[in-house]
Amino acid sequence: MNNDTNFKRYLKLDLLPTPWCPGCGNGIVLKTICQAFDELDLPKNGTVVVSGIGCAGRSAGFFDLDSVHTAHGRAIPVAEGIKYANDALNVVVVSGDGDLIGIGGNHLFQAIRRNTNITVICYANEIYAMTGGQVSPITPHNTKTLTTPNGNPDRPADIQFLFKSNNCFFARTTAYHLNHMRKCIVEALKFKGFSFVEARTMCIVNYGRRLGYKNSNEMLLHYKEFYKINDYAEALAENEIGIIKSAPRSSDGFPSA
Amino acid sequence: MTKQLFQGNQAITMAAEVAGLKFFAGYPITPASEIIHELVNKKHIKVLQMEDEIASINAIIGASLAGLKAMTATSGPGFSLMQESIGLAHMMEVPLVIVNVQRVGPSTGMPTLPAQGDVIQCIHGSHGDYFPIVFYPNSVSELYKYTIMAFNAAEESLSPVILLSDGFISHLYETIIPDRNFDIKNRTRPPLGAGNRHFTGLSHEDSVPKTSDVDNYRRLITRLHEKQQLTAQRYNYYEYLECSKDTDTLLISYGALSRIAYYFKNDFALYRPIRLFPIVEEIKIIASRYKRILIMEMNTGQYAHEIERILHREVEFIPILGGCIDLNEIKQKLYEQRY
Amino acid sequence: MIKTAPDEKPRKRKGIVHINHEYCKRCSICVNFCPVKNLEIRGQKLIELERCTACKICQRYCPDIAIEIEEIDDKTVISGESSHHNGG
Ligand SMILES: Cc1ncc(C[n+]2csc(CCOP(=O)(O)OP(=O)(O)O)c2C)c(N)n1
Ligand code: SF4
Ligand code: SF4
Ligand code: SF4
Repeated sequence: MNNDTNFKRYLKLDLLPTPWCPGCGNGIVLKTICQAFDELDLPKNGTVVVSGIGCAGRSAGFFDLDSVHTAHGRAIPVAEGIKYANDALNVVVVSGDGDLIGIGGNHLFQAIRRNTNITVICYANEIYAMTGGQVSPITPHNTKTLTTPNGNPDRPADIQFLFKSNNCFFARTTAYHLNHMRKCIVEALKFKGFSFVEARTMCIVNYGRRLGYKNSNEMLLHYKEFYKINDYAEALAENEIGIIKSAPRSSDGFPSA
Repeated sequence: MTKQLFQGNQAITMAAEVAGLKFFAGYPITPASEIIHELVNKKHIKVLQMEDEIASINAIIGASLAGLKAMTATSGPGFSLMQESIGLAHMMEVPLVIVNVQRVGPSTGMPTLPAQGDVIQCIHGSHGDYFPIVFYPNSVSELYKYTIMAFNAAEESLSPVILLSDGFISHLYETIIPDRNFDIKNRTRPPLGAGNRHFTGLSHEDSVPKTSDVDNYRRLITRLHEKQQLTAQRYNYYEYLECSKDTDTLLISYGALSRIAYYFKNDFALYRPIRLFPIVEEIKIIASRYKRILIMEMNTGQYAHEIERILHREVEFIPILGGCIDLNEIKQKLYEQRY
Repeated sequence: MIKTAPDEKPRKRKGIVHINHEYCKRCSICVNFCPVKNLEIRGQKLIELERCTACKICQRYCPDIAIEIEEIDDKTVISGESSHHNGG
């Protein structure tokens, strides 16, 4: 083991491979979360991972930590219950965009209001992947999915402003920008209060291929070309990734830049 | 200890505290709200008003896994919202107490009036097969006692136990002796943060999801079923009053409505399940002594069907609907049915 | 086995590729990203062509933790056999 692979201590290696499709970006996010844990040296006893339902939700079971795989959309209230029951625990939610922003959207909104000191990592693949590829709350406008055969008539939810409204932590990043993703997750974990990382990641099978991407690399290269890093901006444009600036809360030193 | 006057909902909170309640999450609803109102004033209990009943049940699942005894309280509409996660708690084996103070449904129904329309929802409200333990007391002092039993049964079975009440007994004031001398069962499983366990609603074996292993699923369901039956046996609560006169009829009732049944004790034998589910086996022996089984309940025959199923014989039932318990009406119906 | 290599390959080779074939899903992310075309999928199996420059792009992007690079000294090389040893 060296520094590059130390993160593996946070995984149940004997359960690998994951059930995800070849080229699924979820594995990249899972790995990067573990790297962030490793960077902060989070204690394995004392850290709990909670997930909802979906392809992304399956990741909870691969952490070599106590973990809870809840019902669809309910990871946040379960995580809040854990945190309010035992404040000493680090509580991290990992789930999909449909789970967290769609069916669980009200819980997300209320957790922002309560500013519960937990971290949410959203595997944002812009689609309901597990159920075959239906439109999600962050599927781009005009995109064709199983349930929007003529293109998504709606605009995607831009949730950063919800976080801004109560000085919570919000970052957007992608599976291409590995260092950036890791930095976002580390900062989110360090944040005292409610923190959320929207990690754009590729579902090649039920999304990318239908949009014309030949493979996962093309999706990764799209992230590379489309997104520009703009950390500590007041707000992120559609094609920007970064940590949004929020006023320091009395209890912590954030932001650092 | 001296007798003191308490409201039903208040008795639930006092008993919960004695039983070791440390975490409550709920959402306001008549006729259950007094429970959260009382609990917010208790020092060593964390109380959260959540955004809805879905969040409430999920928050107590989290808190319970984190090691605290946890409870929520609601009425029919909220109980309906909780159903999916009640199944989750059975699958993940999470001890919880869920209080359902019933009111008239369906839907918003008659929010301030008592009903017994959620009896079947207790055992079949969530999808799939699960085997909950359900208590339904009929007085303030019983609410006190069976709240404690519900907590104990939850710990012993590692499952969500349902305490049914109704708008009538929860709002009733009676004098009770708030006894603190109960044997309290404590948590046996280490809290979250102590290992690498995986709690999941997926079919699983030893923390590992097994989504297509048929044999494992069958083993899992059998184990959960047997566990519930085994725990339930230690909580065999019912009331049976033989009739002083010779009678061929057993009158079954429970909860609020059973209070009025005592009025007929000279004409009928009376049976009152306190542990509603799993159905107390003794009913088979008791029922065998009577030619007629008559069930009155504040729904259109929910428990009657369950009793029929377990006794393999027909029973007559009297629905008392609309939240109104009227002695004359019941008298008329009971004797009309007869002659 | 480590030995000094007198032939032409070693000058370029800076890394030994360890592929865990049980984890590898042959998604080709690494194949497409490798700047020196050191990786290939042949007969349903990911293989390396012994010209790894140890840039670790493959390791970083592999979603399945199936590929790891062992950096080696300029003048040493591990004989061909060992590069696929990490099967479990
Ligand atoms: C209450 C409920 N409704 C619907 C489903 C079916 N379902 C499973 S996963 C899923 C969508 C998951 O999408 P997302 O959260 O974006 O995760 P992904 O699969 O894309 O990683 C749905 C609708 C469910 N499990 N539960
Ligand atoms: S369907 Fe999409 S998100 Fe799900 S495992 Fe496959 S590639 Fe990943
Ligand atoms: S990226 Fe990983 S899983 Fe994909 S082919 Fe390469 S080694 Fe295998
Ligand atoms: S480390 Fe770089 S050069 Fe070596 S195989 Fe991986 S991508 Fe290719």
